[in-house]
Amino acid sequence: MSSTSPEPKGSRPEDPYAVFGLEPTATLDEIKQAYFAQVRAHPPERDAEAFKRIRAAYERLRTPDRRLETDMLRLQPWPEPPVGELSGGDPALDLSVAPDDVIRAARAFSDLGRRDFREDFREVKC
Amino acid sequence: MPKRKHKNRQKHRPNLSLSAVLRQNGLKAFRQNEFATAIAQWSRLNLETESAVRPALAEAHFRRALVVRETPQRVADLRRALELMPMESRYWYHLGLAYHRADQLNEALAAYARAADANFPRRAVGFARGLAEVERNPRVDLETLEWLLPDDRVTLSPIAALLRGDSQAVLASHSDSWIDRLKARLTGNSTQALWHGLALLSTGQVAQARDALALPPGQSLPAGAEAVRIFYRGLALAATGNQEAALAEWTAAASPTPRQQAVIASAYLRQVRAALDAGQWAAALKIAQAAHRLTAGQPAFVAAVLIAHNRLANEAAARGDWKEAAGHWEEMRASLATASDPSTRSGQGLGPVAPILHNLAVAQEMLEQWEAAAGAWIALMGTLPRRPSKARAKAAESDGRPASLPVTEQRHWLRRRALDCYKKAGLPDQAITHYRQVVKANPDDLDLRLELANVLLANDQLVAGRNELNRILEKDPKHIEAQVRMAEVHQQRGEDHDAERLLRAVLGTDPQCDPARRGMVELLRNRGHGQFNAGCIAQSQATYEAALKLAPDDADLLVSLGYAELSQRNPTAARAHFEAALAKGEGAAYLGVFQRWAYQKNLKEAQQILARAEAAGVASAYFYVDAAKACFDNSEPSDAFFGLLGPPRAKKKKSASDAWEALGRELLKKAEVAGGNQTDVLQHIVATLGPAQPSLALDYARKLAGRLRDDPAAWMLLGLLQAMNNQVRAAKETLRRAADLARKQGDSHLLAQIEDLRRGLNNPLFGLLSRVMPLLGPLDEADR
Repeated sequence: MSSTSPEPKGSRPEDPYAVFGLEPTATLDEIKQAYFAQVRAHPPERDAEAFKRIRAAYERLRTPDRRLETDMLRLQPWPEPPVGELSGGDPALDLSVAPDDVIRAARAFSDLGRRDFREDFREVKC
Repeated sequence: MPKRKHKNRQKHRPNLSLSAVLRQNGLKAFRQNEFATAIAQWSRLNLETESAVRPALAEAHFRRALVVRETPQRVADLRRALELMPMESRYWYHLGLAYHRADQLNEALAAYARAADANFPRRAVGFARGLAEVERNPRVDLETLEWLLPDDRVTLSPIAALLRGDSQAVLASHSDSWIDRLKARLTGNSTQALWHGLALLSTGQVAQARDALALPPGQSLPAGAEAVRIFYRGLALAATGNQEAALAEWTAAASPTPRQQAVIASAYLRQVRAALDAGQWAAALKIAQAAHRLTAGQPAFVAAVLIAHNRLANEAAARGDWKEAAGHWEEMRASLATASDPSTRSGQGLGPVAPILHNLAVAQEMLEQWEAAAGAWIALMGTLPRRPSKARAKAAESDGRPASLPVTEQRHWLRRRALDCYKKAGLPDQAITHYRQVVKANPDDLDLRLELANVLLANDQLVAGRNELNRILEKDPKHIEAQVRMAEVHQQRGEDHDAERLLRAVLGTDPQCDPARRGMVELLRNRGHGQFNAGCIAQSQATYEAALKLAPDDADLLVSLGYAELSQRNPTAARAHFEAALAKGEGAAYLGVFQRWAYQKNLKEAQQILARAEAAGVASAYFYVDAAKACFDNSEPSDAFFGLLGPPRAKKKKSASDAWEALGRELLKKAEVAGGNQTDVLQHIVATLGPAQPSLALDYARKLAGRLRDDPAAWMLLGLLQAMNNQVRAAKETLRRAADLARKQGDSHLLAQIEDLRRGLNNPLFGLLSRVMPLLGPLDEADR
């Protein structure tokens, strides 16, 4: 199996599937057909630059080993989960004032909101 | 003298009674806040006779009640304190508070009443008692609570109104006069503002509520009230369109209630969705991360964070910022790892980690972070199923779709890639170290041990690899993959009998095991070729037939079998096998049959096969080149042979071999046409014909160099062929050009090869050697 030749740091070759307008699941036959169609449309003597692109793309797909190498070095799509629902549902903006919140606030103003009761301590003698 | 002192000291020590000891120990513990110990000590005393201990014991229970969190324990301690000191108002009051916190309002009211009856001095008891009444019944008429102080009545009134849903009463009683507002500002009393704001909100006056709930600078509410204020102010801000300010308020809140968390989560989620829809990935990420923290890890935000990271990563990768891309994929990897932890599992599908590991590895390679990339590739390998399903293996055809390739092929690729990365990182043995550690931690996991064996073998550590395979087979003699792998090792070492034994054992257990079948077919194929080459034709036929039983569609075996028949002058039987091979429709089968007829020097049959290949549409450029080689092998012995000790001899008159040469040249022309003058076809022609037909290959090498003007390898090839054709001066010039190109492109390895070749041109034996080497080619072919 050949390994990919070193690429300049930070740069990547063009996606060969994009060159042929194919999905990554295309069969080898489909790739060949697309290649020949592209070559007919862009023969080297008329469109040398395009032909180079097409040829380079085909080189990366034309055998199972090369294709595996190409596919294994392509970025893979990640199936995004849905942004989704909140557990317990997605309530509309509820502007009602909950009684529990009123009680919570009210209690905060009483000794129920305190933790330090040293004033209630008494000295012990025995 | 010290002795005397000691004696004196002993004389004056008093005898302590048990009760004194208990009292003292209890007191010591009490003063150290070890109330449980103090209670334990004092509880052992007779309280009837030790009356001084009773209040101390009660106090210890009281103090403990204040520090325990569980209501039942707290209540129990306070009740015990009250049993001991029933008139202690403090204990009644705190009992009331304990019940109140636990929402046991009736019990709380009873306790508060007892506290009041016992003259608890603090006026807070009135407010707490009143609050309990209001909580129990928001419609209670505060005027009927005689013990309620007027100030408390005023404070409780809006609370009761809000609890009974009568916000208008709150609004009606609220004074918005500038004097009262100034008073509130000066006294720092924001309490009324809180109730007013809540009342405005519940009557739909959202903007006013928003303003009312804003706290003037320098003022604050007690913690619980402040949390409520912040939440509802945030709600009002969100409702009036100021999402960012709302989120800022909520971020400052502490301990939101579950309902508050739900509302906050809802608002955040809307904002995250809006940001994602607008393509503002960075903003979406920031909001989702804040929401995730604030809502105690709501799963929806875990997903949003991951989505934002992924989109940012892909965006960064598209513009070549691999560092940023890698950073985002690392975050995703960590998040998915956390989410997969059973203790934190969200229960919501968050997507697979494999594509993330894959992309991370690619990004790290782009950054030349080889060690990290190797780790990511190995981690990716860990996500592949251990035992690939037969269905997936069956679906893998040779059309090269990686998604349908057997998992074993992907695993092999990943293993090699990880090893390459470790080598680039200067850590050639790191992969092995990694697997050794994993195997050490899981010594009974045979799949992991097999992976270690594979890595060792891939790293050319044959002995160590075999040892691991042996360890697997010791534990599980029928481990199929280990047996198959061991058979491969035997084959590499030429130990065919051992390989065959293992493969037969595997096939005996699992006749459908593809790797074993493939291995056995190859073994038999090679054996058949060896027997054929040794002249044992009948044996080779039996061997090919045995292989065909395992691989009935193998066209190459059919062709070999056919050739064996041809060699025994059974053309009818041979044709039958050839036809069976051709029926598979593969180009390789047509080529194989063509070559066999060519070996037999049967031009007519060969031409017929050629026509059929063309009609079947399998005659590719490569087909033509390989067929051409077979023709040239039948033509006049190559000029390399007769040029062994001198220049090539002059051409003879037209002979049968010329027909083969003519066909060969015709096929080469067809190859050029079929390939559209592609450089790969030219390369194939040069590589295939160069050794045996250097003069023929020379023209193609010139064309190739003409096409790949910047490729030093193409010029090197041309130089070599020029040298083989005795064009030494031209060869030197060409190699000089190749060297210049290689030097400019920084290809030091190729430059060294070119320089070696250049030096070789000066060697008087070069011409001899370059002509001797091609002799091996035609001689090998003649054997067949």
